[in-house]
Amino acid sequence: MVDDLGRWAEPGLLVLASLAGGEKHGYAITQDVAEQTGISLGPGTLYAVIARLEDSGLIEALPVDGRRRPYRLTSAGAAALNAQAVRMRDLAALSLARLRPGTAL
Amino acid sequence: MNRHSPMNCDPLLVRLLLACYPVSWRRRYGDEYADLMTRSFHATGRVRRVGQISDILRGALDARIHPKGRGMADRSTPMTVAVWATGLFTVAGCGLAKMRDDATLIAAQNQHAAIGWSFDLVPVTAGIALLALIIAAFPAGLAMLREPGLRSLRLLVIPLLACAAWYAGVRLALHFAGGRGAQTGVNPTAAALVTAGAVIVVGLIAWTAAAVLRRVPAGLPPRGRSAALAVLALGMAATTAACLAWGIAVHDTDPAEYSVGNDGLFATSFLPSWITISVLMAAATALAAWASLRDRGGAVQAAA
Repeated sequence: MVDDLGRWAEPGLLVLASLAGGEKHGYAITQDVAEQTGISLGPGTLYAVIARLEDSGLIEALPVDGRRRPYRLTSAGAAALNAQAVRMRDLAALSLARLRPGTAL
Repeated sequence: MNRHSPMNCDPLLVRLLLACYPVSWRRRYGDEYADLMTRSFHATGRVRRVGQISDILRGALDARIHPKGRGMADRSTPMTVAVWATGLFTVAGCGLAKMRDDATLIAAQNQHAAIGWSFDLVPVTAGIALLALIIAAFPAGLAMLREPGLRSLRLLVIPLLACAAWYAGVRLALHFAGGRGAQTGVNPTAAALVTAGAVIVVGLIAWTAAAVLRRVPAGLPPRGRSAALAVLALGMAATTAACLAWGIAVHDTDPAEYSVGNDGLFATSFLPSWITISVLMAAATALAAWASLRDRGGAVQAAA
């Protein structure tokens, strides 16, 4: 499902991973992603992704808190994140196994 | 705080950047997005801010091209698409009429029947297309007159003012041209301004008509509207075909006129002007056909 986001798939995954740690508003998501991964999500990218994730039902908006609106992961979002994480873990395991010392060119 | 500090510049910058997003997007995300921009700008230096602004502008472009998110449904309807198609078609038609004004082409038309009949067909088929759109929009026009406070009728001030401004611009251009006129050959700046003004006026008329159609929920019964939009698309297709036949007839009967000379638009030769007009007409026809198919699909779904 995250793959359907096309070029927004990677930032989409970062947002889902951030919201897996609890509900957050836009600025808190950018801070969390920057702290955890070192990747800086620009405001335009973040909201292009939020709109798509919300449209796909992977995240949902919560009532506004002042001028900020928190978002949280839906069950569909958690399942999509889990599927992607398992795929990435398998790919990482495969890559590391094949890159054992002595096998690299 | 310093009067010229970035903190003081932010509200204006944030408002300007937010204005780049579509209205429906701003309605949904505007407040929280403005908050995010403000915080992000305060937390970064000037160099990184340039990158953020570029990211925001790319986001605005994306929001306009691919409206996504809750409540971001496409606001266009088959009728509004048909109106924009008609606007584009009108611009192309004005170009064709302008080309036909050339003395050499008028003489060629009088000498060769094929050039004459193909061009004479254009106002007939274009008139049928326009009539179909007027019939489809007629109920909305009536409803607009009955609206309390004539709210939508007030929008008509926009194209009227634009027409008046354009006419005043043409008079001024002719005045300052000092008897040279506003033809491209002798006064290209005035000609370009007059042309650009006319395109803007047509665009504003189409925008106003689309806005009224969105505001006033009245129209023909689904079958009648589908038939009218189909006639609109067919009329445009026939006009495009007549335009193509006209150019081919010029090519067959007067090859020199076709490929050399300055009888096209903006003192160019016939060929590029004819191709441009034909492409614009074909694009408008495709838009109208899409509107017709979309409307037919909607009518079938509603019936089911």
